[in-house]
Amino acid sequence: MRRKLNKFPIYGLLVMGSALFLVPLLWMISTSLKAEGAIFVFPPQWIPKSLHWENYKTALTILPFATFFKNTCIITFFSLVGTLFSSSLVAFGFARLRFPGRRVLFMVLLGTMMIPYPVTLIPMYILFNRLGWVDTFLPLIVPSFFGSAFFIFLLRQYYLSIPLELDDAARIDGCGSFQIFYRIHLPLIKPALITVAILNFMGTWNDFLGPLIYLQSQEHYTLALGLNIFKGMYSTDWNLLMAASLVILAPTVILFFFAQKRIIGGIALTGLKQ
Amino acid sequence: MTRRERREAIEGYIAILPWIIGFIVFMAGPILASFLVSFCDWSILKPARWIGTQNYGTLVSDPLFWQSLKVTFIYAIVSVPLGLGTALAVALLLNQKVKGLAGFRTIFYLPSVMPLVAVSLVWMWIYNPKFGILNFFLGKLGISGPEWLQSTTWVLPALIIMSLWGIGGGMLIFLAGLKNIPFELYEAAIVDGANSWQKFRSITLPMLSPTIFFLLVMGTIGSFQVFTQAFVMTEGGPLNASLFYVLYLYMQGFRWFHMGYASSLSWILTLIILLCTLIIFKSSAAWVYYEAEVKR
Amino acid sequence: MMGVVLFTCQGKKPSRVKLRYMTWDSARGLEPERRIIEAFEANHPHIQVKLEPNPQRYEDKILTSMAGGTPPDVFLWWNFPKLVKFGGLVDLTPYLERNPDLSATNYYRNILRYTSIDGKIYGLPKDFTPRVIFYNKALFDEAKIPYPTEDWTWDDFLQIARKLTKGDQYGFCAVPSTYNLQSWVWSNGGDFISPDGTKARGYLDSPQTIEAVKFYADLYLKYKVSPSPSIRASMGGATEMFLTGKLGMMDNGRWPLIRLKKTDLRVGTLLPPHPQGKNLVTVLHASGQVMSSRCKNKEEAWELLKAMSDSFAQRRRAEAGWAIPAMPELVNELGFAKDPLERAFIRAISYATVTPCFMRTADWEEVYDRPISQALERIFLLKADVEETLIETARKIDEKAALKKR
Repeated sequence: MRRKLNKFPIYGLLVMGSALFLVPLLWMISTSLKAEGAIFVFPPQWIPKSLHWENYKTALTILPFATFFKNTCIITFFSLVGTLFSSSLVAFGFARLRFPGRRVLFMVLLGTMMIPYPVTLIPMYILFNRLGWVDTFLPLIVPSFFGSAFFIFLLRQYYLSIPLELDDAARIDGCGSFQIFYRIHLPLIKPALITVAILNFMGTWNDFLGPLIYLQSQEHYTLALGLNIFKGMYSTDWNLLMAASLVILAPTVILFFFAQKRIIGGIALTGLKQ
Repeated sequence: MTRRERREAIEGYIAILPWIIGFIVFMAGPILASFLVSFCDWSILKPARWIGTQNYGTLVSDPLFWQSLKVTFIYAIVSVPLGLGTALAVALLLNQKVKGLAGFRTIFYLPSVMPLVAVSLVWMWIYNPKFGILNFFLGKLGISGPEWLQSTTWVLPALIIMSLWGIGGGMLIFLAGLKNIPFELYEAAIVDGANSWQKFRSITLPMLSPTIFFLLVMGTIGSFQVFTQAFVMTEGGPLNASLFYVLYLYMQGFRWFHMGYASSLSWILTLIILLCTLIIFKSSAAWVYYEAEVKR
Repeated sequence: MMGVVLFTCQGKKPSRVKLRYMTWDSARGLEPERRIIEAFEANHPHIQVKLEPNPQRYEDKILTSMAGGTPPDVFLWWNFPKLVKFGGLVDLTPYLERNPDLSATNYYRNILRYTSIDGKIYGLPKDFTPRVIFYNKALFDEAKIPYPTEDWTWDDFLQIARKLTKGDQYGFCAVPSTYNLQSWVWSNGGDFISPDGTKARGYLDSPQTIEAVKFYADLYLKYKVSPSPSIRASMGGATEMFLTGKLGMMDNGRWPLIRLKKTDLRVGTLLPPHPQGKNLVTVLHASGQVMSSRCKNKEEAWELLKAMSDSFAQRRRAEAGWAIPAMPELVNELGFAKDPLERAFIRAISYATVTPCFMRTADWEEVYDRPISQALERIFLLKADVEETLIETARKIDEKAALKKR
């Protein structure tokens, strides 16, 4: 009996906290379905008097959101490919192959995670401008083909958990290092790869500063950038803004629902092995 | 080195070659370049001109530099501990064998996967002084809500409160950390007659200290680089009350094309972050316990 | 006959010249531009034009493309000092002089003020709009105020605004924007900076400027006929407030006119008021077609430039409802001066007798505008004293400007 009572305040706090966390989301949905005249009313209406589903269509067609969606998909997809390929290879090298300076280089890799991004921003921009890559997707895609410190670190942890005997057995069979990588390790770390893919997807999908700096023509904009422009042009049409926002955050939210365990596992792992 | 060892070494270098190239081209190179550029006057339309330490001198006498530093510091000092505390509190609650754990966990983590632009928009609407729901609720409590994003006093608190919506990541890491604490420790404490607070102070906190340390470092580094929210919601206003450092850097470099000056700003930021990280690292000896030490 | 034909065939065959034209127009605003370009290509079969619309981050795009060495050949522009300082634009005056069918006199002289530097014309006017006062006739009728006439003074204006302010409704919306405030300051005999664009002291802190800024700020601070910046932001800005009938008068360019015509609001437009005993000075927003100095086919580019700004082009745009032609002849022909709503805009042109501040120096935005804007914000948001703030700001600006010159 005492046990049950003790849990009450805990549930109470959790429910209150969840409610607070959900309110902004619910408010977004509510606003997105309102008619124009129902936005600026006081006191605010929680449940719109009439549901205007057409707001979604209006919001997404006023600006070429379909193009923004396509652009975001392209950038995200290629960035994913690049990251998966390069990070898995490099992590394998750090985890399994012995070479002079391995420890030092790995320390350097860890160190780069702590470097603030602004310090590389300007020279990278100048470099890409000289190459003529500004206003293309290249600055947002190409760097991912060269490994990302965070994902390399994450994948290396997974590699370390694969028993060395598998490697040894393969070597006896005459496999070279890269064959071991390709035939044995890659299939085994599939779950980790999926986690990396998901986290990378979310990171690229939500990225704002990169596209802001490198994409100038409207037809190259990503969803995040398009949303910001939308806000600038229709700053009082909160119903449309909320509708567009909801559509843009939907993919990451849906992905999260389907892949919760993987995402949470990945996040948790970063905190543990310190 | 044997032949096999040499071959493995070569293979190793090949394997990490993408990262090495990336490191040189996208990391080391730009860092060195930005260091050099910070000593130049370069505004994209003219060729760069070497001016020695003049940018750094200008920086020191630039009121906006100090303002942006102040804004960023205040935000960091308040939002990081607040965020960590909140994340820990929620994690503790969720660790109590509650039913529907997965559901609660999802709700608290969900905002963290949303694009910051969308998050910024929703909060802009919430903070609307006349029609937003925050002031509406405050009104119900008898408080006349402030002008939030239009007020020089309340714009930072507004952004700090908004940052609490994103504690999901920290919460997850704390949860993992909590699960790692061996239950025997708590059993021993119960036998000794310890109450909840004592258990928390003597077992939970010390065992979590590596996690706290990690989150503290990451959180501090992150909070110094806040950009999107400020850019979307306030553009640094009103009257520079929310002029975050990276926002100011962006404006100098990409609005007014003062590449040299912006580079010097980025270097000062790097030094400040390094300094803060070092301070946290040094202090960690005093309060971070690693398992090996505890299990003596 | 055959000989002549053979001779011309053997002569230089003009190869196709490709030109790039960039503009910030978008969607429906792009239609007249497309038509103008089509007509141009039909008349000049050896020139091919690539239209590059860039409605977002236009200035960024132009500047970075210039830095990268690939600017468009002809483009729309407004911030002349910035590019002229770097030698990025071609001086069009000699082209105009040797051109029989188009000359500077075809355009309003006051508009050319916005596209010329030191007497050299760098841009041929495309679009322009003066700032005038819009007023809501229904609200006037309700408060039994007679519609104001062209000669109205600041005192008249203030009185009307006070009568129109009650409850949720405001008489006017004062916005602390340096650009808009220019005309108020000029009308009072003051200015923000010196005519040569170098000094703020003696101008920003002159009694006339202080008086003008004080009058404007007092609309909000003292007389409360203007909403607070926070309310203005909550309601979505002056134009939104006006469109929803919450604002009696607003100061704006021609852009809201298209939206207004779609509503059933009864609106009037009028020249801005002037201080008693002083002359009205208005301010315009203008942009012009320019040629990049990096262009490799300047003769052809000149042809395109002409085509984008001559009377044919201006007529096309006017007919589409997008703009008032920048040519007096066309304006008269198309009857703009007779239209009750467009009248005020035409009348305002002749009062735009002062070169705007941003045209006087390439450092306007960074060295002068920013501190002045911040000073205005301090006055509006923190209720700082006008005289002190402007004197202090002028002093700081001149100090910083002196440092920059080193």
